[in-house]
Amino acid sequence: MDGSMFSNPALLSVLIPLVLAVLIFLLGEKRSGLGSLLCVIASLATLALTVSMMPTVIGGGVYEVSMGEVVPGINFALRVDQLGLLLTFTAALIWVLAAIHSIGYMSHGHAKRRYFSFVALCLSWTVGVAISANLFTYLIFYELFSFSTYPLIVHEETPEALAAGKKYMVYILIGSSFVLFSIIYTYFLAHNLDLSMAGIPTLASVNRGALMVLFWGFMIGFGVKAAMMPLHGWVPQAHPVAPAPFSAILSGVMVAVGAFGIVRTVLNVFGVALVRSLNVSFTLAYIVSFTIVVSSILALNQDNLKRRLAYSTIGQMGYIVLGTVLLTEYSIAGALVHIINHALMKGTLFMCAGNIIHQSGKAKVSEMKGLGNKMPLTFIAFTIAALGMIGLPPFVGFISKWYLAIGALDAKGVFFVIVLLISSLLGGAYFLPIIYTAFFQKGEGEAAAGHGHDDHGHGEHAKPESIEAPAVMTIPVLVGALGVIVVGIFAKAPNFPLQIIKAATDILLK
Amino acid sequence: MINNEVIAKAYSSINYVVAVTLFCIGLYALIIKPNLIKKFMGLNIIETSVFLFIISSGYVKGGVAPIYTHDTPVNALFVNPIPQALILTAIVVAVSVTALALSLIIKLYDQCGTLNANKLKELR
Amino acid sequence: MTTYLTSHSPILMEVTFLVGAALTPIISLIRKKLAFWWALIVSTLGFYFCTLAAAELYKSGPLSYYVGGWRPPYGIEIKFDYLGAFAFLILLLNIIILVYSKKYMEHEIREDKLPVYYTLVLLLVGGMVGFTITGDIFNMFVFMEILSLSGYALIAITEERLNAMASFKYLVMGALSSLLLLVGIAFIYNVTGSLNMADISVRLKEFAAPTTAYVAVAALIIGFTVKAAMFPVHIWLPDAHGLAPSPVSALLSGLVIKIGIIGILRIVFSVYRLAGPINFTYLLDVLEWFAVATVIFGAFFAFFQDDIKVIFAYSSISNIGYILMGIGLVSVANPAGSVNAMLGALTHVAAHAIIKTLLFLSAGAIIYKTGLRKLNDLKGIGKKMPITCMALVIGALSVTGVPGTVGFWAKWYVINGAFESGQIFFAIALLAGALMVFAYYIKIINVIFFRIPEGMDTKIEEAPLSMLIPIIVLAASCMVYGLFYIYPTINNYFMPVAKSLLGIL
Repeated sequence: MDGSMFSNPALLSVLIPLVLAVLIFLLGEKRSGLGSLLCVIASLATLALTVSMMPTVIGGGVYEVSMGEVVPGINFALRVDQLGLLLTFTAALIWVLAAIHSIGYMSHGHAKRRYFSFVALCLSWTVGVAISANLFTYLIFYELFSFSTYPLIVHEETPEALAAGKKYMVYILIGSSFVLFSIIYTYFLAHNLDLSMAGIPTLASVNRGALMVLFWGFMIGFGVKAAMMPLHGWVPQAHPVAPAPFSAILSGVMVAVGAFGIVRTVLNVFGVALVRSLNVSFTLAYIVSFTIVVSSILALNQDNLKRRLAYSTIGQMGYIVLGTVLLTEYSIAGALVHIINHALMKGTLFMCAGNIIHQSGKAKVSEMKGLGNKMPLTFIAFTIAALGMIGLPPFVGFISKWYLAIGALDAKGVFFVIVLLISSLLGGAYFLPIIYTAFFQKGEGEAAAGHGHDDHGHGEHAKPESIEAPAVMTIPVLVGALGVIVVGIFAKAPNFPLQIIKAATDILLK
Repeated sequence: MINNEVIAKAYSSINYVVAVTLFCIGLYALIIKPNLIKKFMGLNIIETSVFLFIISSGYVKGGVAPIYTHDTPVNALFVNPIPQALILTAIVVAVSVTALALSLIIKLYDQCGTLNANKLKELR
Repeated sequence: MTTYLTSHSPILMEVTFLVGAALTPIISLIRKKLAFWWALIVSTLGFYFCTLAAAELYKSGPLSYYVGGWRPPYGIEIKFDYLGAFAFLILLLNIIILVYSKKYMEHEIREDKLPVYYTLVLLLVGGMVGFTITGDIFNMFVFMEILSLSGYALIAITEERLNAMASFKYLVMGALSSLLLLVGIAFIYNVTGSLNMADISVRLKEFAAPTTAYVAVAALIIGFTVKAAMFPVHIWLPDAHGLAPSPVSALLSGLVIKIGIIGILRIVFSVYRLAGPINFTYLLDVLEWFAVATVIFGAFFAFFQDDIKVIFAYSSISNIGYILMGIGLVSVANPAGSVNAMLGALTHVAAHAIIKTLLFLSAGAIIYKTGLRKLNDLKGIGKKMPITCMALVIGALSVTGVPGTVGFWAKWYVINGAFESGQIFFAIALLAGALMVFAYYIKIINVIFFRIPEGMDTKIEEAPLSMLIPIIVLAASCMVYGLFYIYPTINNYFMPVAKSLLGIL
């Protein structure tokens, strides 16, 4: 390791959050206020580094750094390519919002030192996962990430949180075992774990049976984290109990890391051509379609808001996997762009849910009557993000769905277009009632309110009753909502996601 | 059918027969007897059987001790001294194991007031 | 001077401990607490000799030392070879554990017993070092007895009733297995007429008496597997390791059970050799299946325990299973293709030594401060002793083989070895075992960090520095060494061991 290595932005984007996380921990509980600021700074620094790397990476360049051999022929190495940049950017963006949001959300919380240091730590690991140069490095960051989220999931230390944590751990460990098995098997078969854009070349000569074992091993392993049904059990339990800003990260980025693993497997380990020759696309696509539809149906009858959002996440991860395995240019582009789009929308939604819980103490949709008028900003942001989820133009959700649908048609999979449409409809069915309840139904409290307002509950007139969250919590939410609009409208502008994706798909499908 | 030949053969390998018998007796005591001291005596018997076995393997029929003195015959047959040396060491080891075991047993008796293995198990 | 010391270093590192142990009671006549410093000096001196020998080993190959100048096969040979280099690890960990045990043992036992403790520790370590570097099979037995005896005594050094029982159980099992070793050695002697390992391996080829040789190796392997606590002869281990004073548990679980493994490696791979007269295929197959049982049952029984140290003891059994599996996966027909399996076993001998030492020491720090060892009593202890508990978590993650920690490499190499030998089942069994192990470690982590403390003394704080520093050093080495230095180490230090054992150097 020489000194110049430490000025490499790839390494820095992993190291800065890591060092700051340790620092936050060392600062102690009493100075956790400073710690929370450091957590924001870590996220901002990573975001800045990511943005600084953008021009080169989109132009086809890479940032590489290697820290020496760990297994014969395999280095512990980082490489920022287009896919990596996409996830890093997503992560950094969501982390900035969530970290700021956390300052407000955690203001009365306990164990803040642990919370903020682990949030920063998780950022480091996520970036590591995103920019790993080979499967081995990937595995290490992936596992570290899985374990580091545990303290955040059980942060509330309630029996439900601990039960959810246990379930999470069991699922994730089984998943990791599959991943580990598959990675070692890959190493055994190919003696190469490099995540190159064309896939691992030596895998092509391996017999089909072994490849099938490998493929499904990876799919099951990553599928657990990507919440693919029937491996999704931990998601609806873990999301509601985690602190809301962390739920945003969990749903927006962490689950996406699982989906990202599937993307990496299909595109960088096997390569598009090899997966095509394995002829597994449609099998997997049908499984994923099942996930998409069933999770949306299940979301319908969840009364707990965060639980409903969690089921929605399961369906949305299905989009990413579906787009990836359909293996056409547009579907892959749609899948990739959906990583960032979904993170923006779901991050915003979860943080809104956090505002609601924090300010009103209400976690159930049925209790939210009239809340929209009391917390207008939060609910406006919520509405925008929810409309994005349903897939209305001009919001980001529309872009992903549009690409996915075109991709599905290219792959001669009309069935999947129908699945997408059904999912959109169901999305409308479970999101719109929330908005309706919040804005247009009168809360019980207001009906009996005795402040001379009787039965008069419209937001503009009910200012004294406003329980809007403090700025530190509303600003991230509004920024997220703004992102949902801006990224949707300017999707093709320079340095916006679609351009990153295009650079990636151009190389992939060349 | 026990004829003289079999008896002669058994007699010539009497050491091994005794060693195996002792081993079985020792094992029986070790497993069956509830009293810790008796258990340990069983172990000692097993040890003895192993020693006997090894010593016998170094014995040469008609051999003399491998010490060269002025009245040693010219083409004398010596027994192998190495097993004896080994067993001497092993006996020392066995004695120390016995000492340690007995001290443990005394300690147990002081603390529990019984040496019955079954009762000790209940005391846990 | 240095060259003189270097040439005598194999015997010096052994004699240092034996003489040191003998002198400890005399030294402590001056002051009881002097025993600790004396033990530390002796250990450091022994470690110094070991570094001399190790430097020589990697400069110009294995060192042979003839005791009293008598050449083998008549004299006794001490051989500091690649496998013998494990003495380095033993001595290093011994120093760490000694530093830790100062405060701990002053708290745990009466002051007049301290010299006894240090004497026994020095004897134990001397026995382990002697066993590791000896080139004579009967010497192996003698050193095995020295270390076992001091081990039995160390378990019973506290006044606890259960300790005496655990010690007795260990003693009976240990004495039986030692007798098996003796029988095996006698058989080998009967076949070859030699006790020197190198000589035996030459002579075994000349003598066509495979039946006796089979019996001998079977007796030796069974004897060693009892010492290594393989299922189903592990029954002595949980009590012995769980109830012993924590530094002793660390020594026993981290190092002493590895002595059994080293014994197997010595006998099978450097005395008999894979290319020798005996076909080891079936024996290794049997070992492999027992290893699977050890991995699974070790993990399984831990579920029902509530004493953290007993849980760690069971996970030792499970981990011994990994090592045995690595050994069992070695293919007799194609030793060159089994390097990975062997490397897995060897790295885990070292890795598990570090991890288990860490786990027992940090559990010991908790017991030292709270006096509690039942899992349910330790709710929320992580908030009061954060550093110790973080170290414990790092140990827990390592022992389950989380990638990036030292514990991961056994999994990586053994699973690779399983693929190489075409036996994917063993890879799956190993992963399943690791999963089960984690299931109860997650329970421990949950209890110590995420439960609200109840009924615990509020004044509890972090352990004293002399206990904390060894823990931190071990935890740091689990993480840092696990990722960044392991490959050079494996390549430069474990690879020669594996290759020399497999006979392909």
